[in-house]
Amino acid sequence: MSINNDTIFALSSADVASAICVFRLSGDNVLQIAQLLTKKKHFEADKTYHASIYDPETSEKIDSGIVFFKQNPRSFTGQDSLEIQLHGSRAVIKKIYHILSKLDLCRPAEAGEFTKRAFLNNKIDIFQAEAIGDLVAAQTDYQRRMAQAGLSGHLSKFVIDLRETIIKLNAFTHAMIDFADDEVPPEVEKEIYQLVDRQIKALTDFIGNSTDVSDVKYGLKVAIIGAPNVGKSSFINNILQRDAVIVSDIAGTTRDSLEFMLDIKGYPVIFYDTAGLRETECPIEKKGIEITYQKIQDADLVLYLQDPNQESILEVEELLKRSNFLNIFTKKDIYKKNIKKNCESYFYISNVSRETLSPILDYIAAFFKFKYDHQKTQPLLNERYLQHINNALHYFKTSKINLNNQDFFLFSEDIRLVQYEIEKMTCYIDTEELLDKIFSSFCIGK
Amino acid sequence: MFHVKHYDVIIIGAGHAGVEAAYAAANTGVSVGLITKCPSDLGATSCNPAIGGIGKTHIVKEIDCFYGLMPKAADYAAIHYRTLNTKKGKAVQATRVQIDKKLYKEAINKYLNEKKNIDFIFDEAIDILVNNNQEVSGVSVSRETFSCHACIVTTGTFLGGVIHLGEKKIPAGRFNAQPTNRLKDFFYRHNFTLGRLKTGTPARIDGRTINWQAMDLQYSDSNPEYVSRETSALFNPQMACSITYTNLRTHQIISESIHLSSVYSGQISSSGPRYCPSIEDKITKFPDKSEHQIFVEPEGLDTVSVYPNGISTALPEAIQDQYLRSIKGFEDISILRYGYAIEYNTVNPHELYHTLETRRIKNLYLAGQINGTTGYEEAAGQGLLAGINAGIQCVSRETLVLPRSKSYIGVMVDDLITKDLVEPYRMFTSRSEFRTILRTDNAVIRLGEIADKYYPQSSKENTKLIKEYYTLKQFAESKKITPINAKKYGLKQLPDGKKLSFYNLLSNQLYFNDIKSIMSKCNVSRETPEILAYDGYYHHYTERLIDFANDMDQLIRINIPENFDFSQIQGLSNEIRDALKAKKPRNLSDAKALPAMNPSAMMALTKYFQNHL
Repeated sequence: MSINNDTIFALSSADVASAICVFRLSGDNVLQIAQLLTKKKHFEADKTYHASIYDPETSEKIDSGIVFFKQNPRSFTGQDSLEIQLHGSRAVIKKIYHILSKLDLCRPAEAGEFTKRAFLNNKIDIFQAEAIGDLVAAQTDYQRRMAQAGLSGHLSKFVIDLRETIIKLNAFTHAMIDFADDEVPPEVEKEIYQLVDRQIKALTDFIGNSTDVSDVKYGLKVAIIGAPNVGKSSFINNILQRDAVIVSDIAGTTRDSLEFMLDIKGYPVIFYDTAGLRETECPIEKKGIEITYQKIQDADLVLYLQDPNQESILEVEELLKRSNFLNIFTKKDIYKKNIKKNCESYFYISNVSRETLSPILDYIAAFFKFKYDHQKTQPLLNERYLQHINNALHYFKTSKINLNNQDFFLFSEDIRLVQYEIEKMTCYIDTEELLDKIFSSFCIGK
Repeated sequence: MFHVKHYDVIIIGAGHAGVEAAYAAANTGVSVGLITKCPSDLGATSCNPAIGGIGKTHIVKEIDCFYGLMPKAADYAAIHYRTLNTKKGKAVQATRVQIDKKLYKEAINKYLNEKKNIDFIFDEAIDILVNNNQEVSGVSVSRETFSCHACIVTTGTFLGGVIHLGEKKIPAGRFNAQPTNRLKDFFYRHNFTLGRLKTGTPARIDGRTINWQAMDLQYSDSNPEYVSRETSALFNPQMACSITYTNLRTHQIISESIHLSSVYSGQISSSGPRYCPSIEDKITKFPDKSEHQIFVEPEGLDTVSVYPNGISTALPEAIQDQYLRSIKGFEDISILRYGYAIEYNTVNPHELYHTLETRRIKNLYLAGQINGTTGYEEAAGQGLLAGINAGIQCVSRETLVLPRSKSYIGVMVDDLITKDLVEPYRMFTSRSEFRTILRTDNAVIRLGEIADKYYPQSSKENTKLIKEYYTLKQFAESKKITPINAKKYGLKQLPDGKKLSFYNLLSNQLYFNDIKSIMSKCNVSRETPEILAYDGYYHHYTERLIDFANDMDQLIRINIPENFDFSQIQGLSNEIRDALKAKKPRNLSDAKALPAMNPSAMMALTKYFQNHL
């Protein structure tokens, strides 16, 4: 038996008491196990059965539920697969797990093993396999949506198209170099120029339209800044109590800058609570303020909390010119009269009345919705792929320079470097594959 | 017991692989027996009268670093030089030489005869003797048996050779030459995996009957670049070649009779080279093309025979008569010999080590077309490598492997051994991942030391040049452009006031020529500044390639045990597992080259072998 066809099982639903639990099995022995557990002889592919589940050792009935059999290769893993849905009590889950573990016919699956089998059986490509990983890890709705987009094979299609172009470009340049003497039609050179221009544009667009995975996986960064005692911590406490759920505390940050990941209307957002800004001689506090300045630069959005009765800090205003920021005036409950400051967009909040926070949370959600849903039409890009695609673009740009300088050989070397980057994302491009392309495109050779 | 004559190395076959192997083995100082059927076989050029081409000249220049035969003979017989790719970049430039076929044979004979340790044996080799340790012990020809330490087989198109001409099938190794069939039994007996390939050649035309005025002339380069470093002047008067084209009438004649061609009638099923397509293939695969170029090459100074390059064929004689005369300039020709296709046996090169020694039988080497290659140059390159290896094996039990990053011959041998051949193998520059390093001008820097090490009689010319090169390189790397010396050397100031070495500046087109001419004034040979200039010009690219080569070397060092059970490794698809099982890669670099391989599988393999071995 091949190591990848042995039968694995896993509890696919959460290991907590719930209405329904789902067990999944995949491998050669699936049908045999189904017969053992249900005492039914016949299972047709793709049909659901209502069945009782028995302990094969004692013949004791455990529960009854739905059994779903899928035959290879038309299942997720590409192997025979079985899904068993039962009542999701702790006792049922424990008993079924125990029964399956005792069978010699199957073993518990390792983490990600179902997806891996799907990948190995060519049911999904490497990009989709990684997207599934992202999907399972998704904590917020936005993360789920982006992972789903990855799963749709958008990235795969782009990379496969890119690979095709590279094979074509490589074939053309090799034909022109290795068959200098033959009749490579003059149009080919023109087509090379066009392909390069088109590819530079496609890559630039793709990178521009792609969502950097770190935004989605690790959240969008919002820094909360302001003078001491302006109400930053109360602001955060209030946000935490309504409309938002803490997703995680991020450990390992400096003691002066705290980070929380929140789910705001489906978007993962990291809030940075920073040290208060003021003139100081204290070296420790100075360090804290330096970190605050750094956070301002790193953040996607800065919430600048101000006391309407105090002067704004000039240095901060200077720094904010380069950031997306929001003026927030605190202590609405104390200063009843609205004091209009010299700025275009601002919010008034009161840390006593939590309702005043809602518009800010709406704003944040809208800000990210605009930034990512409207501008970024492509699915999220894994850091690794982003790196390769960026490198590919860089080599394409160099190739254009060499082409314009009439150094055709160096141009072809650049195209080869692009090829290496593509190969790191997909699979190797063999010389034979290039030669196939050359000989099917041109009548060359004596 | 009667006396059996002994040779250190016996070579079967005296084509381009055979004579190069004999010459190289002789250069290592051992005694050599060269077996071929008749004296006229020595240095025969059965196909077109030219040596070199892109990728091919790269090989010939490497042979020259071993003081080899082909480059010297090419210059000796040269009647036309043409440098190709002059506008595409130094690394892919190559000089092709049209040769006088008779003079080429004369040259090969002359240089071989200078070696007193080569004996010629004019007879048919019928068997190779192997002792109980699976080592070569001797070679039998029809009249006697010789003992030997090593044997190199270079049968070319002769092993099981059959000529096809229309419906005719004639057992032959080349036109009017008997094939070598008895030796085939030897390979069967020892369970070698044999293959069958096909190639073809066009008709030969009487030059006196060609209307030369109707065709475009192509003259020899006025300032030719010689193939061999030993050549300093032209040996012969130079001749022009001509260019003509097929036309729709030609295509019609061929299409109407295509079923009569051995290639299309089903008579030949083996694969031929796609880059040497027959005219039948060209017309069938590219029906939209209204003409195909024909390069008209004279076969020598005092022969009337002319080679029309680009229209090889296996059509019956009557059809060849017709279609040739439909071509401009060929209206009234008389044909000296008709074109034909030839099928022959090869040995699967996966049977070989990188030294070209067979895995089954020790001290048995194969070189040339028997390994599935095509081309004079590819054959000679392998002959050279097999010859040196057989020689140094006798002398000092050493072996020579040429890495991909150092030589086109190394690329070729590695491709043959690790990849699956689908057609006769021809060298292209695109087969090498190290093209900025593997240039025709710097071959001696890459490989020159080897010959000086292994050839006791070597003039050590290579070593001298290499030493000079490194001295000049040190100068170029240490010399920086400063405001003071820029003026002194007549160079432009660097705009941003940076200091860069001469060597680094060579990659800048604005400085390239000036620095090259400064280096030429450094009391060195003509070659070194030229080599160094292009090393500098490409150095950014080369550095990246060297990183890549180092990665590859690391993979080569990670060995995969013989008969390893790949099912132990998790994360491999069945397709890849089957490929690994079938190809038995010896190390991770070989595994990486498998067509089925992908990055995630490569990662799984690397992880496994780094942890377990």
